[in-house]
Amino acid sequence: MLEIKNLHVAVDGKKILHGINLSVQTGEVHAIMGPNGSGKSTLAQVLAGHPSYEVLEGEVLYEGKNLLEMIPEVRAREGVFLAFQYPVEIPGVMNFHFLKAAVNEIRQHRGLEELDAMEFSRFLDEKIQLVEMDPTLMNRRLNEGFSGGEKKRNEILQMAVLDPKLAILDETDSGLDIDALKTVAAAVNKLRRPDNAMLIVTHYQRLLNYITPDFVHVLFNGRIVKSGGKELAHELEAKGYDWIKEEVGAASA
Amino acid sequence: MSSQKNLKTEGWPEPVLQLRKRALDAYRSIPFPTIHDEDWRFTNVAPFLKIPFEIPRASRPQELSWVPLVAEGWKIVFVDGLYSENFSQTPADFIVGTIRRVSGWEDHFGKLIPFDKNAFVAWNTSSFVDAAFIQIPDGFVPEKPVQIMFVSTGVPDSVTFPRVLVTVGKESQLTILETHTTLNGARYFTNAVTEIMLGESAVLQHIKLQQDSLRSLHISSSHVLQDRNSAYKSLVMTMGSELSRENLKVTLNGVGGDCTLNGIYLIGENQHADHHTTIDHAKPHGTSRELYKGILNGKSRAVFNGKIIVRKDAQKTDAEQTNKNMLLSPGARVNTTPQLEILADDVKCRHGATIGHLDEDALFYLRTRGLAERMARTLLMKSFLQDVTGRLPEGKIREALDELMTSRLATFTGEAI
Repeated sequence: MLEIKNLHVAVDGKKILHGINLSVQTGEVHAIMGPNGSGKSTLAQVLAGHPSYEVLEGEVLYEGKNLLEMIPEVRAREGVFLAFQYPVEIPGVMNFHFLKAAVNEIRQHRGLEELDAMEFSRFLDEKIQLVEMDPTLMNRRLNEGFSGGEKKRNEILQMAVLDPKLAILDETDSGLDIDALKTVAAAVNKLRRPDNAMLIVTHYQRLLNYITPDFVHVLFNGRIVKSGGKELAHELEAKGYDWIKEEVGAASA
Repeated sequence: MSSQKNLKTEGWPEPVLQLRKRALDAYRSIPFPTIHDEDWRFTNVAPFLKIPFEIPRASRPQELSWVPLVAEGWKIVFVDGLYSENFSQTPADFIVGTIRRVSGWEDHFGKLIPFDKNAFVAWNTSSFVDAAFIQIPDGFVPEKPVQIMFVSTGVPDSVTFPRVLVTVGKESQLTILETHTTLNGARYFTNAVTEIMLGESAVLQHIKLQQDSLRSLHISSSHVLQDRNSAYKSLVMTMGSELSRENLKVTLNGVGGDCTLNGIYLIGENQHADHHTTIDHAKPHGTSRELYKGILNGKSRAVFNGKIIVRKDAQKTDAEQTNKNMLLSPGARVNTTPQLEILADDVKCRHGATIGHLDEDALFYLRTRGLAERMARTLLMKSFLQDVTGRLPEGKIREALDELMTSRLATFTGEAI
């Protein structure tokens, strides 16, 4: 589904990613772990198409198509979704109307009929139950005054509503207490299917206690320096990132 | 400068003739403002004033097949400065008319705005062809709003003198939608004067939409006089004109007056929009809330000057003024100036101004949800304006204004890409 080949990326003239290679198949959940500043969020933003990130080299194929050539909204309509680490507050836009507009843009792209307010309302109710979200948040302005947990849950609601093929979760666990984390993780697990894939970007292993990844990759200084199964996450939790740094240091010395 | 002699002077009662004569004398003796006047230093009207504007001689309102923006409610329509009976729809239970047709205006007309210091007001007062007059008796609340429409058919280099007098009686309420629109993109001059008097505990919602031609000059001078416990809620929406200047002065002349001045300006290309407001707190316990927001594209320029006067007597005044601007292009400019003159000591007075840009992170966020860039931009601009537009009562007027704003903003996203 996703094939990242030798991806080099800079932001504001500073090189962050130095040749990422990663392959994600349909039905797989991959975790990208790494210390702060390793380039995790850059990878997430580049895949979603943030215009500030400059691709210097390499390619990204999504379902065989050149993802980097697509503008952000086309990526979204093609099924790529990014759950933001810091969801943006948009005070003038009602959450409900925003979600409806987004769903209909994507339905239109997929050749489906647009949902009217009634149909969408019914559709949305199911998803709200799925992510166990407070329904009154639908009538609030998008993310405005939402708590950290509400914002993150709203991201997962958007994911449920937009039904992506490839979901990228950027530090979805940050700022969540353990109960909120469990709810969010449960919602993500309900959205996990054999016909979609997920890329979970996280600093800590704790989210992976609830969402079990098929593969874990360690990102360090803009490169994937280690890959393994879910046990690699536990190892990182137990030993921290220093041994990775030492390993990388020893290898390059 | 034209000083047309073919004004329709016949039929005016003696006091009006006197008023016009004095105004004409003033007009001949007062120079037009230049950028050397403190109050006009950012707004240069000189190039426009070289144009020999003339009062349009032949208006053909009966040939108009449509007039722009018709909302619900009573209507009083002027086409190229002339009252149009065809398009107007006036009520029976209160006065919506023109001073040539109804009476009751004589005590107030021309009393609020002095013409001896302002050449534009003097010109209007010496030259107006007719004037709208709306009078709500005491204790009366009309069921429908009143729309005052000034339509320009676009006679090149013409000048019109829209003139409005509104008096709202004690404990009465009214909503007015004042629209200035055009049928084409001609160069012309709108020189408007508005006088409004609110009785005790009266409430007036006054929405002004300025959508004159993008080559036009629009100068407007309005003065509102509020009696005790009255409320004046204004929204000025400026989208049209190459150069526009709104002078809006409100005097809180009774205890406990409440005034809300809101403004939205959406300008692009080489448009210049200048909003000058004065809120004069003359009596105690007055409240004023002012929020002007602008979106600027192209090489447009906005001027905002908000003066708040708190007189010595006006203790317990609570005033707040905010001006926020969003610049869409590097060529757009804003000059924003608060002017506070506070002579009382027990008052609350706050002001603030910001100049910013469209939030690129928010734009990206919306696009990652599948929204097209233009749609996302429009959404974010409307979001920026939400705290002004959201205060309009729900209904047809709000819907109509929303539609107009959306299509105006759409031209910005087209230009910006």
